[in-house]
Amino acid sequence: MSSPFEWLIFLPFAGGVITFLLPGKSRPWLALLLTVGTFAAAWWLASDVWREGPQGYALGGWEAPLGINLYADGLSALLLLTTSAVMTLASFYSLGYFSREAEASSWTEARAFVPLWLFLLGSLNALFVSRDLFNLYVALELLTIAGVALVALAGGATALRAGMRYLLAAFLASLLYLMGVALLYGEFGVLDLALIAEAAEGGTRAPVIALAFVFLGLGIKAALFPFHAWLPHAHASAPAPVSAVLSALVVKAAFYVILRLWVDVFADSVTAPAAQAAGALGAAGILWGSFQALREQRLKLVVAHSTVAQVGYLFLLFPLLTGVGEGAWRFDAWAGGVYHMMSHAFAKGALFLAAGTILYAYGNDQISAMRGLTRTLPITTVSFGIAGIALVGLPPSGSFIAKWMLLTATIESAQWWWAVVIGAGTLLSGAYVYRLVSAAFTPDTLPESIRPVPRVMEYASLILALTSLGLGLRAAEPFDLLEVGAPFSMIVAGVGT
Amino acid sequence: MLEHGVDIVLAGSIAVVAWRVLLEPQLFRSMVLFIAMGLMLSLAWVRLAAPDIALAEAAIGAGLTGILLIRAAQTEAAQEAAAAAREAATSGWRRWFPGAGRIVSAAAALAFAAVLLVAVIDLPGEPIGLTEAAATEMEASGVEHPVTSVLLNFRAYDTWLEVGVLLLAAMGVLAIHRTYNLRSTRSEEHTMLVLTWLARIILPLAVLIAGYLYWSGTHQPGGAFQAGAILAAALVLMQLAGFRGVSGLSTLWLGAGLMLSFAAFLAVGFIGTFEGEFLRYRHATGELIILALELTIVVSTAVTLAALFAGAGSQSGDDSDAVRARTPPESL
Amino acid sequence: MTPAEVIAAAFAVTGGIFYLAGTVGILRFPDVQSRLHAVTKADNLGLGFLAVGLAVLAGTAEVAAKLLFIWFLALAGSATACQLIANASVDDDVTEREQADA
Repeated sequence: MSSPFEWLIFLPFAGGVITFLLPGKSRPWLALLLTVGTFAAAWWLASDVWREGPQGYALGGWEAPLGINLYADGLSALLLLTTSAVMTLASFYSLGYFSREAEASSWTEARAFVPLWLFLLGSLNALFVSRDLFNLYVALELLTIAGVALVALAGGATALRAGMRYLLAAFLASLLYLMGVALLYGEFGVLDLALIAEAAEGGTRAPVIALAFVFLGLGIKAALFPFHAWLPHAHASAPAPVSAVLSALVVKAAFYVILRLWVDVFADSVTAPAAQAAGALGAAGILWGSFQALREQRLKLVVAHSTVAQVGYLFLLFPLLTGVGEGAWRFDAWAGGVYHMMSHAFAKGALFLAAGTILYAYGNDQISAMRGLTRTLPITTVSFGIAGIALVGLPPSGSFIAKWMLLTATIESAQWWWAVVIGAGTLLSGAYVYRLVSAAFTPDTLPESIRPVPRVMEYASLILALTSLGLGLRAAEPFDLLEVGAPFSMIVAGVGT
Repeated sequence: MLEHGVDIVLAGSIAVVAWRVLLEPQLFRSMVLFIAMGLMLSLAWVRLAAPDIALAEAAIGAGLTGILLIRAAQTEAAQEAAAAAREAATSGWRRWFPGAGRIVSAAAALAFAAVLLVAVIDLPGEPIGLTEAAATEMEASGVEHPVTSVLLNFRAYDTWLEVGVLLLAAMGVLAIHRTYNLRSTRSEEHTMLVLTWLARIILPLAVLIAGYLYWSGTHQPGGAFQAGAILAAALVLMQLAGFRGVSGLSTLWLGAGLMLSFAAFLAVGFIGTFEGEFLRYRHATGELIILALELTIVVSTAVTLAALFAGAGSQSGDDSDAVRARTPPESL
Repeated sequence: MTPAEVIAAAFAVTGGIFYLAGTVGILRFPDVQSRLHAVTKADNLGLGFLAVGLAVLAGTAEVAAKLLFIWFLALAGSATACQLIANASVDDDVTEREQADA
């Protein structure tokens, strides 16, 4: 076990097996230990990437095209770090959320929860290091089923119905993707992404229909408007740590695959109109999701609709890459999108955890019932506020940098209309975040009984929120890492910055 | 000429039955037709010279999926949902456009088929792929059949994760029931003697056939997943005949059965890292390892599919409190 | 055609006729029980003739034995299915009658 790749795959899956089979009250602690261990493995891989450039790994000793190869560049490393960081904090949170002081049922839930949770972590890791078209499909399947099972864990008719809808949408998406993969294999005869990229270079062999299937399937999984209808209820009715991870990471995983294929593999095959269309759907998602978030009465539904909106920003990077001429703005667009993914992961994780804390304490998550929150749950209120800042994209959050880079790219690539969308989305998100925060700060008679909240829950969301802020204060290292193996360069020769 | 005739009749029948599955208003009949369609599809795979896929289609696509559907439809929750759906289909705006949903889906499906046809025609005429590469390296893989060498060696990582997908499905069913075994699931109240008799005949035969398929997978079409599916079918038959089957297993044994294959791959992968890479078993012991891994796939697939069936028959969701009450939280 | 092929063809055609009769029975008979009657008996015989016909062509005793074994399995399966369906149809009739009485 001398490679970080091995640990990234082995640790969570071994943990899933052990926590499923072995009895014992230490399960949640074991899960926590393993998520921390996975974070260490991700850090190891990231430092290897940082020092030596992109890393590869041939499973079973079989090199591509016959075998399956793993690969990590700066993008993979950053997303692996984000994944294990968010899941570690959410694991801390779940110690309290499923604590033994709570009623017996939630302890039972925790026992089903821990193995599924570790399987989810393992499948996210597997996805972010995969370099194989079919292996990506398998990882997406694992991710989907683990996600659906975790949603259904909440129990009750609403969660089951939401989980079922999620399952059906995700399966339809998987089938579309798989169909596309089959056609791509028929076209290129290999599954390894690097080899396909070589064959597809120049765009002379552009299997349009296969790519349409692949991107449509992934778009459904990434909740791109108008394929987002499954998301709000699935994310809102899950247990709090699950909501956090689904919104923060699982949706992003599907987007990551789109980004990889679009930019690294089929860059010469995708057309400018397709990029504009992806951007248009993203823009529609921003507006529609924000609008719905403004109208919802339940806190978790607001946060879930906001995910639809925030995913929309990510799709704006595709049209921005198509501008004419050379310039560093391609890197700005690409890295801005990636940074937005990360920053949103931490902010949305914090928000969902905080919302879960409120639900836990108050017994419901009606926004109107949130009054007096500053006095009952001060730390949660603070994390709510900080995560709100990051969600809107105010300085000094990471989202601010991300949006700034996207905006720069809109100007430099002479596509000002996307800047309008970003501006409008920011205003709308400001409005719905304001709505939540103002409700929290409205002084009111306190509810008669509040369930005492374990401290660890409040601090977990606070740390996540602070991280999303920290990404804005210390952005140099992440961007340097991101540039390792990146398709675009921060500094373009001959243009100067 | 005659062969073409058979193929044309078969393809036409599949299309007609598929059409009937969609248009049949009665849920139960629709499911029976679906099973019939699965069997025809399996014949189609035979005609395409893919006997292993034909086996999988017959056992899983037609048999187990069909019985899962029927079993799920028998639950009260499903019947309520079906009634609600009928209600919704005849109220509101839909009243004015009867069958609008079906027409839209049919149009979408036809469009999809047309696009797919174009894509397939567009593919390069010469079959390309890794068939040759797999054949060249087969000697080093430890088995003599290309499909098995791909599944269990070259791309064992994918197979492992697919085993994980199956496992997660079973874990999901258990999670929804909030339990760790299937003892609380419904068993058949009254079974007929003749079914018990059939189960007694079929079970040993199923074990024999599963064993044969498992063994033959190393040098001809067949394989562990198909063998597991056949065993699962026998387990389901046992359950229908009033035996306990997988729902009689204790938490530990059920868990072990479900996990066996995934854990075995994990262990082999781990050991491989001492020689080189994860899941490395290129030489000498390769064949033994593949046989052992396939055996675990047979067991886990059988237990998992049978568990899905057992789990589908019990109520869940709204009355999960009842299930929970029956399952003391600390018992294992 | 060799004599073996002639014999095999004769058996197969006979089997086909039984199948045809069974199918006509399913389509034309009025209720579940009589349809079952037609399909189980006629199809079992049809399959038997077909199996014997193929066994003649099989060449080795091993393959012939396998074919006959398949026939036996199909017999067991269809006999059981026939019992179950008949039973279910009787149950249905009873409920219908009860409903009619009520």
